[in-house]
Amino acid sequence: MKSLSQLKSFKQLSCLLCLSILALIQAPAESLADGTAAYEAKDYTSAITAFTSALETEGESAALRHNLALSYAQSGQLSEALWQLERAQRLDPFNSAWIQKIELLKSQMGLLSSPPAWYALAARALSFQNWVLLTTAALWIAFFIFWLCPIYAPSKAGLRKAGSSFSLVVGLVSLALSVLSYLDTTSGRVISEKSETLRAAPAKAAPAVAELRPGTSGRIVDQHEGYYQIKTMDSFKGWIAKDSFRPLTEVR
Amino acid sequence: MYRSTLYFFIFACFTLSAQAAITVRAYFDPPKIALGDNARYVVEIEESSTQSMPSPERVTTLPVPTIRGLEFRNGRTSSSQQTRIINMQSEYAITQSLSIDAIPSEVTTYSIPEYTLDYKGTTYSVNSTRLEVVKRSAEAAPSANELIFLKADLPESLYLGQSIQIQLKLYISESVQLRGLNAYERRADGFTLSQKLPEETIERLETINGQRYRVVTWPLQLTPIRSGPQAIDFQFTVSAQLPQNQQSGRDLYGRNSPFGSSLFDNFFGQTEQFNIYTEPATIEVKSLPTEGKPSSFSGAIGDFDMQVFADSNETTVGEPIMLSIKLSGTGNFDRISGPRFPEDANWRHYKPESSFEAKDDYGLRGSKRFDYVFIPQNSGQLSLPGVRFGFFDPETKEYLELTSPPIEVTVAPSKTQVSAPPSVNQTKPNQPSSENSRSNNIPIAISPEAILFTLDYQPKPAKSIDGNPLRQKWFWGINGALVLVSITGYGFICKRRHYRNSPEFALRQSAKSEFRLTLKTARDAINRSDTDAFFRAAQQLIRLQLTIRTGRNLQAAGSAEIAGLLQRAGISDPAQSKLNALSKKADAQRFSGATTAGIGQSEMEASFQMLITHLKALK
Repeated sequence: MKSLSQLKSFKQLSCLLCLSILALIQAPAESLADGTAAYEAKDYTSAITAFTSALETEGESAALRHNLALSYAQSGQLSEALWQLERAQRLDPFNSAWIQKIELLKSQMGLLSSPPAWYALAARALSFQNWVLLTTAALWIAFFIFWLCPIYAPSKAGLRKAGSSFSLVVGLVSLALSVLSYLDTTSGRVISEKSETLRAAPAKAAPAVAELRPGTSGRIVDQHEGYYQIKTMDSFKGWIAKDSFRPLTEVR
Repeated sequence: MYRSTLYFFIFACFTLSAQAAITVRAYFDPPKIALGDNARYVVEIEESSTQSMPSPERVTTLPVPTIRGLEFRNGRTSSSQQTRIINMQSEYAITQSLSIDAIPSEVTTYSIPEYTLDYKGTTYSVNSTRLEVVKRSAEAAPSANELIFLKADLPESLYLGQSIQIQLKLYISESVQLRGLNAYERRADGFTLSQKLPEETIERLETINGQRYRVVTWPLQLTPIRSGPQAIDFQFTVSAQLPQNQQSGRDLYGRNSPFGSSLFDNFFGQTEQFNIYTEPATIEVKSLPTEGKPSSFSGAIGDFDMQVFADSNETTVGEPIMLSIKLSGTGNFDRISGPRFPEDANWRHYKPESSFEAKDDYGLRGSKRFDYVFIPQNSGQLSLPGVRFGFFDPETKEYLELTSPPIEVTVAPSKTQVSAPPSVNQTKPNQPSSENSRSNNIPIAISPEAILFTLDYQPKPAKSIDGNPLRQKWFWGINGALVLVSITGYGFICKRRHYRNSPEFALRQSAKSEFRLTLKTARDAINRSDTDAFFRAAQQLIRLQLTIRTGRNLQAAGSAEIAGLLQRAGISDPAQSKLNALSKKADAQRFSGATTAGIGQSEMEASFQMLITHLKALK
């Protein structure tokens, strides 16, 4: 009797443990659904919290960044919203709807419209890392075909030339797109919700060079301690605190 | 019945005896003061018991009758406990003191009549008491109120919502040593005022009635929030060392002493904590007049100037343009919000961003700027709306309205239309298909904002866009290895090509392969015991080795030539003679028909080993 009751309690405990594990496994997926539900209920603060949590538990995705951007926009944090939307567009570069949304948001913030050119979009088709690897592989393949095939396969000159030419073209095109992709990774935006001062030197006491509107785009030229040196689209160059400017990609 | 009555009586006596004895006493401390000094009105409630220490009931109000000319302020309570043992009998007592500052306004005797006080459910009578206020002697030492006092520069009237700066001044006589400012309180319910005193103060010296004072000034910002007469006063609790009272005809200022004030006056002075107050004041807060109030008025009170400008007078449809309004002057900037613009079919605009630049520490002087984003919806010659800003000037007591005319803007047609993405319903109704020329569907127009704030409900798999292989060791390691392989391979290939193009190289290579074959032939001859074939092969091996060594074709060389070459090769004489002997035997057998039969297999083997050994020396 005792052994039967022990067995029963052991089975119950096992079932409970399995259910708990299943619940834990399913728990992360609820963050995205929670965020969506909170957004639809117009609880944007909770939506921001849920989407941010989902970024950590489920990993980054274009849809998460996009929805997080809209939550920020609805709660009035337009600079942060613009950054998140641009990040989402980097993750899904050929989503034309999001390109339109970025321009809508920029016009709402009083920023100049600047949709990305076709070559910039092409450069975003792959990450900078993938472009570099593709370039390296293509150039090495072209090299080996060009130099080694005459020795080991001298009779197949036509195939050799075609192979090496193709690899060379792929390598050069991907090299150009790698450069564009690298330039794209150095861009960022002012994420402060108020105007930020661009300074002549990386110090708070340095004279001001310009006042940047929230959401202004710039390219990182240099960095020193807590400051980035950036160049804006309208050619202002100066130093801004790292707290106020965030790059769109982390190229480590 | 008699017993029950007796028991009740005993119980009552017992209860009464167990209850604490309570006495209430009131008095002035001191009972006689000079005009300008303050006294304390004290009510003491003493409870005593022989059983245990009584627990007092906290008294929070004192129903003191109002006396004309005598102001009461700053009520406070304290208590003390005492235990006495008399004739082995313990007696416990606790005294609760309620004291309040009494400030007389004239020379007279103030009398507080008897009144009642409820305490622990019983009504007690509070005795009457008197305070005698006499005229201050000309030679009397100044009172504490004359040595340290508080003043506030307040206006008589203000308008509701008007912000001004006032000054709270603490006067400290030079004979007083201020030890600390313990507390600050203010009564200003009808105003907004700082909760805490600002840290920055202004200090200066001032002489009043021949006495020098150190004046510490705190600037405060005051804004009335209720209309009508509003009371305002301030109180400090300070710790200060006041000078000792006059003794033996000498006063504080040494007027009766040829030596001036004595050092011992200050040496025996005590540090006291006491409250100082400003005189009770009332400010008449007036409501803003309704006559002449412009529609653009939204609560601004002060004196302002306005500048209006746009960052450009040319744009394209959909491209934003910024309209800035800058208000400068003095007033309640914290209550000013940007002017509102009516809806316009030609423009879409948003809430402005504001920024304030103060020119003083209180935010009353400065300039406030509002930046509006206007987005043109149509092309052509459009106008940014004119600006109207109304405010009330308390100096002139009238409303003023500042206006700015519309700003002309040239709007070019848009190069790229910002339209709805293809996944969203278009504003135009769908074209009916050829099969069905009529449609019952009703198109719904969607605003750009609705498009913007639509969530993504179809998440795709994530991909990483971060990372830089140029900073990874593995990337450079693999490329470095490929470079090394390329360099090594290239060197190898170049060397081979060089040799292939050289005739000497080809001859040597041919001789080497021939040498291997001839070596095999010699072995076979030994095995067959074919001495003729063996000697022919042996001679050929010598020729081939010399060919490999010299790079010349010596496969047809005679014995004499072979002997000369062997000599030049620098090998030892015994080796030379043995190799020459082999060569000559082969020639003899070939040309003269001499037979080498009879040479055993073992001898041939020995000759072969000797041959191999010496040929190695030729390499």
